[in-house]
Formats: sequence, structure tokens, C-alpha cells
Amino acid sequence: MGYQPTPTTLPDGRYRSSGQVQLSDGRLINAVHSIRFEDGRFYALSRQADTLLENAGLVERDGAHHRLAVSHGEVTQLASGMDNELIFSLLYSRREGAHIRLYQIGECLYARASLQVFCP
Amino acid sequence: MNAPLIPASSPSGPVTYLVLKTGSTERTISFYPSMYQLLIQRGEQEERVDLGYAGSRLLERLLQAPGEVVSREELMSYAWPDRVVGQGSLNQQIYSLRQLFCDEKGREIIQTLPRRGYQFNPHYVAERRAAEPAAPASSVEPEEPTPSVVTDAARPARSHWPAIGLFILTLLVGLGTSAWIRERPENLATRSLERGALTLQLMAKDGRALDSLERDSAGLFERLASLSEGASLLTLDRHGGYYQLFCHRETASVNWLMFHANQLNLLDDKQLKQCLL
Repeated sequence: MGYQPTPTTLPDGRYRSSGQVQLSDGRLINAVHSIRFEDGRFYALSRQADTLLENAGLVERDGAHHRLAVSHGEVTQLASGMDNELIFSLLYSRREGAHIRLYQIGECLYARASLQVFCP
Repeated sequence: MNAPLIPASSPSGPVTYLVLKTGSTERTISFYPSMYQLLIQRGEQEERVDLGYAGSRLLERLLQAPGEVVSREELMSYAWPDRVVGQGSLNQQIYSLRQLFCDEKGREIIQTLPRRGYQFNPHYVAERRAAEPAAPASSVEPEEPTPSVVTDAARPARSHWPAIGLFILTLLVGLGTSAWIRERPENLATRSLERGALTLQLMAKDGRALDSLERDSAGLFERLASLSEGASLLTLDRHGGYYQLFCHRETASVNWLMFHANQLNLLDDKQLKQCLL
């Protein structure tokens, strides 16, 4: 278990997770991350409080890891009072051409650049 | 009896390391006991993994005599010389090592001898090297161009051509280095810490970031250890101003809690317990 720097097989199917985020002002918000892998493509949707992030693109091999190559993304509502770091992650994740490496944590995938977690 | 592959106390001098085979033909591991590190090589890719003291000592003891059974008690006293730990800590370390060697299913490399202990399969020891290879830590740390080049270029008493040539060379090296920094894979280093039955795995971009993470999260680790019931494995990362705490479950799924760096010491016990469930 733990972080495994080992090659992973190409993810397939639906992954999701939910948890809590404690913002810099101490507020606690719920977050849900969901992603679907199919034929080398991904479709992801994240919700953090009232903010929705939707992105899609290709899954690429990146050395011992896989990465998400974003070809389309959209943030539909940006809640006021969100931390700058979170906003940056969300906006980066929707940018065409963004690459987000996936790290395997247990059987889950951790998109470190966008702070998302996806579990089978 | 054969001479041990690794001396009980490593002498100072050139870095000694062992090249080990794994359960995957595409993957080899170089073990640097004095640095508590593995360098995992897969084709052109290299990955540095910080085993931590206990994990490194455990592997070191097994490799002192490959093919020889080492009892659980001896492994525990060797890997944790200054404290008493539970069987779960040893099990966890063995499991982690097996994963790194792609051996978690086959168990051909680190073999369990029921009621006797563990042994390292000698067929997976490729060679021992005492040369001075590029240490894994330095292989991922590019050197900055030195400022003395600028000073030399500005010195009027000498011919300018050598200085200009050096400046251009440094510029090219700098450009090459910056391109390499952009393109190199982001290999994360890890370190495992233990408190009783709780194991905290830290992940960060390099050893210095691990040191910082370990220092900053010491209080959180103590709290988690006091709240944890039974053996638990946690992973902690800090990225983009946020900490990400993963609490591993027996199903190999995880609970997670993300919090801003300034909330590190302001988390409720309830939140931590919820993660540890």
C-alpha cells in the first residue's frame, strides 16, 4: 500500500472519491471527484462546495506513471472565498494542454497538480 | 561461509551498492544502504525511493546473507535498534519492500519461512559494486551555473575571449539544464516514519522537501498516533499550499483529508478520526 512508484496498468472504468477540504480560513467544504477512463480518454468532474470543474482529454504514458492531457475543461461556478491555491489548481486543470500526472496511492490515483483523488 | 555481501557496518569511502533483480524483467534495483535509498531503473527511466531507516536496515540485514533465514526477532532488533515495535511494523515493511520488488504476489524474492523468519532469494542478487557511481540524490539535483563566471567575464586585465567563451558555454549549459528540468519526470521521494503501530509515509519532490515535511508534520503525526486504534498506514503530501493526508484502508481504498498549510495544527480530532476509520 502507500505511494507506489511502480508502473500501473492503464486505468479503465469509473473512479471516484469524496472527502473534506479545510480552507485557509478554517472553513470545511465537501469535495467529490469522479473520473471515467475509456479507450485512452478520460472525462472528469469535480465538485468542491459550489464549484464544479469538468475536464476531458487523453490518458498518456509518462515514464512510470500515467498523466492526464487536458484537451477541454470548464469551471462552471467559482465560489467566492475559495483559496487562491485551489482556484489555481482548478483553472490549471481546465486549461487545454495541461498535463496532470497520476500517482498511485494504494489502489487510488492521485492527480497531484489538481489535488484530486480517484479510487476504483 | 561466504563473506557477507554487505558488511555489518558500512565503511566510509566509496558508496557501496548492490544491484538486485526484481519480479519484472524490465526493472532492476540498486540498493544504497548507506543512503537508505533504492534507485529503481526501468529502461531509460530512473526513480529514487527513500526507504527510511527501518526499511533500509531490514533489507540490509536480509542481504548480509542471501539465502539464510533471518528470524523476525533479529530483523526487528536490527531495523528498530532503539525501540520495541509490534509485528505489524515488520509486516508492513516487508510488504512495502515486496511491492518495490514487484514481489507482493509471487513472494519469490523476499521469502517467508513460516515460524522461522524471512530470507532474501540469492538468485535475485545481480552484483555488488563498490565503485563511486553517481549517487541517486545528486542525479536529480541539477547544479546552478556559478556566479564566478560573470565575475571573470567582467575582469578587464585579461583577454575577454576565454571569459566570453566560458560565458557562452555556461549559457548553453544553463539552457540545457533548464530544458532538462522542464522535461525530466517528476520522481517523488518517499520516507516512512513510525510511531507504534502507525506508519506515516511522506512523499515530496526530493530529500530536502522530505526533511521539511517531516519537521512540519511532526505534531500532526503525534496526534494521529494517539488517535489511531490498531495498525494504520498513512501517506502525507504537500503541494500547492495544501496538505493531502491519505488514510489507507484494508480494502486498498483510501480516506483522504485535504487542508491548507496554515490549518496544519488546527484540525479537529473528529476530522482526523474520520480519516483514520
